[in-house]
Amino acid sequence: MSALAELEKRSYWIGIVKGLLITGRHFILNLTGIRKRPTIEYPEKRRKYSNRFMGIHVLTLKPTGEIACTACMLCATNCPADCIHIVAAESPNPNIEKYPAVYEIDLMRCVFCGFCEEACPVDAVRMGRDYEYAELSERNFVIGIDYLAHRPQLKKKNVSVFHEPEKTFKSTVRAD
Amino acid sequence: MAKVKINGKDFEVPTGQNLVDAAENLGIDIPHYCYHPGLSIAGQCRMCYVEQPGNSKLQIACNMKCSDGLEVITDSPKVKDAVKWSLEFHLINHPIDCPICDQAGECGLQDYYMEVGKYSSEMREHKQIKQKAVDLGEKIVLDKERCILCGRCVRFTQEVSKTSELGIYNRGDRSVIGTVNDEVMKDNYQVNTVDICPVGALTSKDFRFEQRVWFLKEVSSVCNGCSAGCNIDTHHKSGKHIYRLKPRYNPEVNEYWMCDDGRPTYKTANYDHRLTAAKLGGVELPTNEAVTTWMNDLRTLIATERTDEIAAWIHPDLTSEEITSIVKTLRDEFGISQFYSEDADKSARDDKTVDQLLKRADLWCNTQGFLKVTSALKLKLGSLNQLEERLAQAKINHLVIFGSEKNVGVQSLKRIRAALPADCFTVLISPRLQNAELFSHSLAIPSISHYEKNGTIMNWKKIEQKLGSDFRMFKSAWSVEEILTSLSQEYQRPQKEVSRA
Amino acid sequence: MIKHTQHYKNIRPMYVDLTPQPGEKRLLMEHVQVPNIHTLPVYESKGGYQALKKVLESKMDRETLIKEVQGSAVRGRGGAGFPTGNKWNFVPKNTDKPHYLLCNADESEPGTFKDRVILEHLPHMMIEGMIIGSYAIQAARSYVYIRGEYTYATEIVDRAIQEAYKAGYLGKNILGSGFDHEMVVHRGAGAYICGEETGLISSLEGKKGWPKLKPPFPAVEGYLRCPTVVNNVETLACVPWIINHGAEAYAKIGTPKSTGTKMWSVSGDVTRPGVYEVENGIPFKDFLEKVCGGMKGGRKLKALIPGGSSAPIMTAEEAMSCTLDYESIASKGSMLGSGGMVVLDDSRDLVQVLKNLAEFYREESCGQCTPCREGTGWLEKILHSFTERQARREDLQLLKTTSQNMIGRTICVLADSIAMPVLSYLEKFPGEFENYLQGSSNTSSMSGRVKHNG
Repeated sequence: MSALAELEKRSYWIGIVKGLLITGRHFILNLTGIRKRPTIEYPEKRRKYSNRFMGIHVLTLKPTGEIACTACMLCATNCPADCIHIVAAESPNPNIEKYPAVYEIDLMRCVFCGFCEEACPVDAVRMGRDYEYAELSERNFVIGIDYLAHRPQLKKKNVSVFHEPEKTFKSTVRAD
Repeated sequence: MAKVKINGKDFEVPTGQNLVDAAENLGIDIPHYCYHPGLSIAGQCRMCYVEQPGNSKLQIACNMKCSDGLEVITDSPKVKDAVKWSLEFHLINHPIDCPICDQAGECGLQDYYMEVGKYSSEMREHKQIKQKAVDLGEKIVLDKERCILCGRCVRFTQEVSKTSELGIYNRGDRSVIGTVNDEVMKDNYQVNTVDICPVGALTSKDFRFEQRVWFLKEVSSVCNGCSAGCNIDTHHKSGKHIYRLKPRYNPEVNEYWMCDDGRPTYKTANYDHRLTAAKLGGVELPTNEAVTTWMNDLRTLIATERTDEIAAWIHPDLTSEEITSIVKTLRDEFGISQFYSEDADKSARDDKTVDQLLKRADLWCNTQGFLKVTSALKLKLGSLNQLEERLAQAKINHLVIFGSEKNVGVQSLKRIRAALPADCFTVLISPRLQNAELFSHSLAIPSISHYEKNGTIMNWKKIEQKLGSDFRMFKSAWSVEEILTSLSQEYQRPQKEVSRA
Repeated sequence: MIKHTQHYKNIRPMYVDLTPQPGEKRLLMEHVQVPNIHTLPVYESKGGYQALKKVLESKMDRETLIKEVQGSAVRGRGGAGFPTGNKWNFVPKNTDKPHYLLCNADESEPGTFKDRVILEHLPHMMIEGMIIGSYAIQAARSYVYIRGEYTYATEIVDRAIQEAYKAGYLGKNILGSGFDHEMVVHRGAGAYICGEETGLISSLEGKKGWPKLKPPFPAVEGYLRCPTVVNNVETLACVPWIINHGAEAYAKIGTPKSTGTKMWSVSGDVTRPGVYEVENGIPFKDFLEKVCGGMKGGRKLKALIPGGSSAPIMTAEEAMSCTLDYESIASKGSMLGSGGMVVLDDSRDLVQVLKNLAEFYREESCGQCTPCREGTGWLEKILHSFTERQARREDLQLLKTTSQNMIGRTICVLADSIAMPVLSYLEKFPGEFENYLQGSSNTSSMSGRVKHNG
């Protein structure tokens, strides 16, 4: 055995210094930013995701401000997790025939597969970009039209690509 | 029988049968819209083309009757192309309403679109615009754009309900279905037009926007609205909620139709009208405990030979099997001798047709079955007046009431309630929440509604019909047979005597 | 007696010059210029009702009568060209149901106005033919279904019938033969489709003028489900001449397959439009030059519509080389039809002509069966986009396939009446459509179309 190895075996502080050198090297590299870390300082910094990122759903609106969804229930049919609950109703707007009075997605059941977006024929439901959602009670994970269409994060950018053409629709069904 | 040849194969069919019907019975589908076996032949939709060898012009199958030597081809390329173009003509002015149309999933255009395969339309012009969502009264909404002018509804109102309320106005591609002066429809059979309309032009207001058709399952049953006993299909979702009733073909009873008064009878089976848990004096308890409680009181009376203080009230809406099990358990096993019921004899005597079509005056659905079973089992029945008398004389200490889910029995129950002394132990077995509220102090055991029952009922013509059901809406609601079997088992269980307080 | 004079103010007879032209052969219109020939005394003085007397007083056997008409080989003059004697023969002989004879005076085919001459000037000839025809098919009642727009003609015909009743030619025991007959005038209400035989029957029954499914044919099950024969005015007007002069004499005139004469109502770019009666088989060239006075303003012939707008169009070469009879015109791909001839010179834009026709057929389609109801609308919309210079190249093929899929697929032949002309225009005058495509501002298939007033 060499003299250095003898010394190392007998004294403990050489091992400590060696270890500390490794730690120090990691410390300096990380602290000064020389090494690119995959960890980011969330929530001050957030990752940029692609436009295809599947986050919490968005219900789009028509240019006039009403909800674009016609309550056809294709999204509920296609959903593999059976998490969409829709109740259709006669719209108070006389130019629209059918709209969802209740549109709820149970985020605890949802697997964020995007089948609902694929199924929708009128571009009413899309997978949004939000992923932050924390609640204290399970009940609060069922989100309704208020959150889906009108949450402030959307900044009113969820306009459907399908516009209703100028068409006279006269309904006499409503009692009013 | 006639020998016909379809697509090269020989078949034997009844002579004179319509070719479309004959082919359907043989499993060969000839697409059609305007043909309906219960109505006259129109030949308007031009979808049911068939080719006859030797004739270069295609013929329509609905105008052909099966006779010896008839030879047709339904799957040649020429026929398929003609059907494709016929569908194209149907679709060129049809609005693309599938997301908002109630008929999606059972729509004639959708079905043949997938089958025939004319996937891309070549029409690039503007479509005809007509009125949408026209209010035709309390029961029907008409959408004039979706109408494909098959004429089935018009022929129905002319030939079956004989009111001629619907007609076709204007000529050519401006043709629309409508009523005279846009009046509302008044007759009692109008929702049948919704059933026969192949597209979503006529839709039922009751079912409007309620549910998508592909979520619903069908179960065959019989309507309990009156003694006509029209055969129906119950449409429910996962056995939890019934959405609508549709008539089922029965040549002897109701052919293809049912009256509108029978259609809302499913509502009493749904949540808002149902007693969903057993109650004792307003407090909920599990059903088996309720049965035990019942048995406790009954046992005392049976043991002390006071069965003449027990009475039972039954009604003619019960199925024959239910009545049999009631008699066998309560009379034969427990020795109860006093049975009272609605006046079924009078209902049967006063029964007659109300409108020359289907509806009858007797609103109980199993009057004939009730009379038959009670006479076969030699059951002595008292009337409501006699029950009231005995209640007033405080001679009854234990009353078992079987309550119907319909409005028809409510008057009698109110009279019983009024005559009921405070210390009489009452057991109410009924699906109906309002009955339980009427007898709020008593023991209420939920039973199943008419559309969940498996049993037999007999209509006014003494035709026996089976109620078939495969779902139960509430776990705590049991059938009458199940309740009584459990009661009987409870009776036979050895246990300590419990003295009646 | 129909009293409508007080309701309509503009009742006038049709202005048409009925002077005989060289080249005409007048069997029916022989006495049309005699003043008051529409009244009974004048008609009788010119030999009227001789045929009826011949048939009834000799108590001619009905079989013989039908054979006589069959022997003359006269064909239906309303458009279909079906041999009249054969049609009469189809009526079953031994039923207890009443029989009916319906006279189709609903002359709505565009370009046709020849029946109007008979109705306004020679009503008694038609009435006589109807009584003889009713006798042949054992009909106790006949109806004249006259189009609602012919107000003047209705009054003339009605008066003529009243005169016939007074003279004993109608009513009970006509001329002592034991044959009873009632004749009623029924007015139409402005629908082309009521000129179709089963549409007429439906309208007469009081229902919507919707054609009925065939089979069963009207000769077996027609008006009120009884055996019915529907004949055109001109066909029935031929009957007295045939009875008076004999079937062979009639068969000698014209060609072997198209016997007798035909009344033609000529309109369009000719010097002398009007109603002319010529022998079948006369070359069109002679007809145009001699009878109609040649093209107006000396222009060149471009196209000819021989038999009303339902007939496929003929090019100038085809027209000049054909003779005016059923076979020759059919061999050129067109049809003789009702005899409503429209002559088009080289100043006419044929796409506009076709669009005009398509508008008519879309308006008049009854809407019962889907290919016609939707197809007529579709064709009109495509042609509208052509004339608005918004058509695409694919529209040419689309016109063709749509028309091909309307022919033979409907209850009556209104769909064929627009589809066959469209195909003929596309085939014979493709250049006309190309002109509209050249200037078209619409080349892509998804751009918006001109909004059309549906």
